[in-house]
Amino acid sequence: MKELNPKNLRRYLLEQELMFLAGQPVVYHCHHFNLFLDQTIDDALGAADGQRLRMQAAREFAAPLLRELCRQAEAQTPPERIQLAMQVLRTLGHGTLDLDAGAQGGMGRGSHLHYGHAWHEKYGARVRRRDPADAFAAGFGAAALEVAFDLPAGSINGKEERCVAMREPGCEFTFRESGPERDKPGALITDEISAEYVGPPEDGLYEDVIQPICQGLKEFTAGVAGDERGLVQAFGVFVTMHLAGYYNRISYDAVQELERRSAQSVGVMEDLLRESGHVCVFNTFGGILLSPEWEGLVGPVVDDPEKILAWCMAIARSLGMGRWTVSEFEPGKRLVMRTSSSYESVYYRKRHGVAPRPMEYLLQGAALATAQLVHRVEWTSRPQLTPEYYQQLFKGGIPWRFEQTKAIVCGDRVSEVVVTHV
Amino acid sequence: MLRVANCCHRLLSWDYELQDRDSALRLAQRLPDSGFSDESRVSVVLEFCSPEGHNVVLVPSTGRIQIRIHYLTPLDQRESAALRVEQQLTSALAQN
Repeated sequence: MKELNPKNLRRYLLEQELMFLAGQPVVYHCHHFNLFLDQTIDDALGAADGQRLRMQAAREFAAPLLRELCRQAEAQTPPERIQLAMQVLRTLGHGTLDLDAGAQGGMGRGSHLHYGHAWHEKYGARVRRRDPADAFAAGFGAAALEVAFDLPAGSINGKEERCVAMREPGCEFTFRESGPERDKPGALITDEISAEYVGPPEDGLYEDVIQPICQGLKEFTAGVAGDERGLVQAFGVFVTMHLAGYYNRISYDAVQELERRSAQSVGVMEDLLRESGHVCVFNTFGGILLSPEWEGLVGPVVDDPEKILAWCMAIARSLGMGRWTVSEFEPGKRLVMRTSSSYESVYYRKRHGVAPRPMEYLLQGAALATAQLVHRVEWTSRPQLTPEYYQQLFKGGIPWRFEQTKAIVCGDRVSEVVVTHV
Repeated sequence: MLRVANCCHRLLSWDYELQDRDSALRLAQRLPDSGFSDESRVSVVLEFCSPEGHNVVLVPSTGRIQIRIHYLTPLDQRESAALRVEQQLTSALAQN
């Protein structure tokens, strides 16, 4: 088996700032976003259906990644392929999973798995979780078995039986054959296909600031990978390189399912999906700006709305969220963000066609949260981005409203979000 | 002086504030002789690892120093761990 270098496997779509690993769409997100989004899905569908959907989404999008990596590494035997898959899980920052399983299924043991570990760290002292947190690892393990034994997609189900988030001593999984009613994968989404669903790349304001910083951040993060336990700490933030298809499928499938079950609740769910954008910008963008890594790579943080705004665009691009630009900015009054690409719109257009309404939830929430960070955070005091501070900034009446005025998911060439002060 | 810094997890990051940038640069030179391994990826952000597995991040251009306690350290032991690293840094600086 050939050794793979993760640095050589990651690439960005030229001038679109969408990120791919061995051709599969990926994006960096921190555990705050990951936990919030998973919780949103479980709240909408119930824990059992939420876990099933999350396992299926992880399995569906991990399988093509692992298949391609096995091909490149020339991993031919099941043990080689499983070894490679578990190494990939660690490299992406999702922790460690050991499989004792064959073509008919088996067992798995996890340690420092991203979701369970992070949930325990964030909430464990106060709350005992009643359901396991690591459906992503369950799906990833199932995908590893399918790829290792050349099984059809959807033929192995993974289930976490014990989880550290439930105050169990470790995480334990079972893997079983799925039976005749298999979850069939949807249309494949690759780097080449993604290129069909982006608009012409645009420049906005502050490009002379944004582009070099983005390039520096990309170079810095190229060397970032999971440690011996499979966790990634960068810029003082615990991050994962995650399968964009996982986020997209759980979000859009859950919205569709809720439309069937309880249409009056869809608005609440969409608000929560937007809030995941607040959580992302507050914790990840904010954490990066406050880190010594940022200070070394870019310079000390300042209380200058235009600089903070430009820096947020550079961060978003380097994380693989798309070519976010600023097309208008009037401090204190109005912010217009545009992008010719987003991981949400590529997925939605390929899987669902043209949307009935703008449904780029992360972009919408992130635009509003960016306005908050730009105007209401005193960066030079180096605040701690605690849950209490988040509540203060985002729950006490946000003085901004947003409108998505253009949407790639609706057939426009670009997406545009206008944020205005109220 | 030690001050809790922003971090994704509670009490893992601590800013270690020195009077001047020159002291920070001197510290960067002395840490390898004090048992810290240099794990820097780029010259503009230096990263050192203590024998106990805690990290020190140092920015040469500004003199900013951050202590990062290993994430497996129990919550109730993080502050004392940070204080121990602070002592190690202070000792390294005091060496002739």
